[in-house]
Amino acid sequence: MTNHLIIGQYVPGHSVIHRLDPRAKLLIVFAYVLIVFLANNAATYALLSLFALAFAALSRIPFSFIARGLKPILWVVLFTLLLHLFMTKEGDVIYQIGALSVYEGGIKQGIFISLRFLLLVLMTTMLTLTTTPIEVTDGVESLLGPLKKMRVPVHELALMMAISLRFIPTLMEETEKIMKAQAARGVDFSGGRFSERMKAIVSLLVPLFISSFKRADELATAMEARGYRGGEGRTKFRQLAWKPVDTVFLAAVALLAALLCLLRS
Amino acid sequence: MDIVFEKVEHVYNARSPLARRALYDVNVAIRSGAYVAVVGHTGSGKSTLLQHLNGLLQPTSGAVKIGEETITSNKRPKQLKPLRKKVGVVFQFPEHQLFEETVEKDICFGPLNFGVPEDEAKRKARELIKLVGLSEDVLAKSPFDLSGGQMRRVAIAGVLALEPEVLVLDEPTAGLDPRGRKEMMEMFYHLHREKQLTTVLVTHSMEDAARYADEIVVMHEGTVWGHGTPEEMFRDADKLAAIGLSVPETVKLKQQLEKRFGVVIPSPCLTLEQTAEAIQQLFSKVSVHD
Repeated sequence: MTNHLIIGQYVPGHSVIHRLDPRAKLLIVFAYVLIVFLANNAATYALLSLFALAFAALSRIPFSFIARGLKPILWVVLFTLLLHLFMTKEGDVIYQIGALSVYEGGIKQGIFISLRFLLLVLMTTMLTLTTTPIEVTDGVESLLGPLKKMRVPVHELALMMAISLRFIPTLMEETEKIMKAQAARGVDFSGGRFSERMKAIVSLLVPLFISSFKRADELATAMEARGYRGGEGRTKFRQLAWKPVDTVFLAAVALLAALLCLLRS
Repeated sequence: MDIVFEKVEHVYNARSPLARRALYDVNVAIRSGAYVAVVGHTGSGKSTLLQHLNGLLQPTSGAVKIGEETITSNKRPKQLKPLRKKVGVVFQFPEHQLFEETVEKDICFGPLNFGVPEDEAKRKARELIKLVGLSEDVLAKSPFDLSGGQMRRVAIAGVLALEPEVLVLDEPTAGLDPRGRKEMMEMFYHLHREKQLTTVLVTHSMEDAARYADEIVVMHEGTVWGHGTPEEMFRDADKLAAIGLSVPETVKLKQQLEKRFGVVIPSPCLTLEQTAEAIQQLFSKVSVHD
């Protein structure tokens, strides 16, 4: 089930993208997500696609792997495409099927919007594919650092993020174990009447909640026992280091934004 | 019920880059009514083997025969439900499966899933709660108000309530104190004898394997390394040590005594009682010589 979903998965590597400072990567992806909305014609979309493809190529992650991961969202893309194809009524009528007519504007809009969606997913996937969750968390904490002055509990938020990421696999494992134990007692998770299904889900969720609370409690005790008391004066084991190459990549995104502003119609 | 594994192979995440072979070429026959211990190092495939016994996992190739039923890779999961009534599995830390509001409801959960009438299930719950060593007034309590050991007993009662013909136990005493451990193992042995169950015990405790099992299956790196009576399996301590397993302390003592004094102790020394007797005999012989 989880084999095909690569969003959120990390692929180890040593490419230039892998080695970028997580802060730089976060900024690049964040900026990219914003400037995608600047594009509105063929030239600008081509430019955006080129950038995303170059970014993906530099990561040295096989395209086939990325493509396989994008497969699950293909249906959403296709739906968007069709929706725009039939709903936009601009320009000349190109094709007519019964009451439905396809306009030139519809084709254009359909392609652009689905491309935009694809690019967004591609870039955000590239972030998680090349950055470990812990790096992402460090990056977020560092970027949000200035908010500490406004008494935003940045360190605590980052810690929450790190802990939840850390426990996703544990929780999945736990789910599987409990499902098996209940299946051995005759629970059928794959079918049955509605009331039976509800009962099956309850028999899974209650034990799952209880073990999660218990684990949270134990984790809190373990942290306390080791003298954890928030971000105050805490030093870092993993130091983030901003390198020239990070600046280069950020400059490239700025350049991309400038070009988009120039070329958009 | 007789259980036969024929050339069983199991690959997790088959046909994907994450494929991992957990079992291969497993051929084991367990006769009806036997008490079989499955031992092996962590990652030897014990747990995977165990999950084939009630169709939670299906072999990727080969076949598992359980009584009349044959499980192969192309069996549809739906067809496996009747099997789960006949084969009860007590997983590691079974208390994690409790979820109902009362102990009684939780014990009845399994039987009700298999269509046992409610009053029948309740009657069974009353009977079983005593069998696992708890008093009847526990039935009305929430399982989450009980102690860890009590929760474990309730969960085991929930599996026994299915009245299985085959009982599969995966480290049922992990995390219990020595006394609770002994009580529980004795209870399973008693049940095994009384109800003529076929029992499969997965364990790390060589002492338990030696004391209770008729046969021992030793798993190593995904396949059966050895299968025989405890006496046969514990004969060669060095070979077992090579795959990260040891022999029971009593067998160790026997072997050391034999080596040290150049005698042969005829008893297999599988339990403390046997060992004590063997040593007594040894000493009486020595005093005769004097």
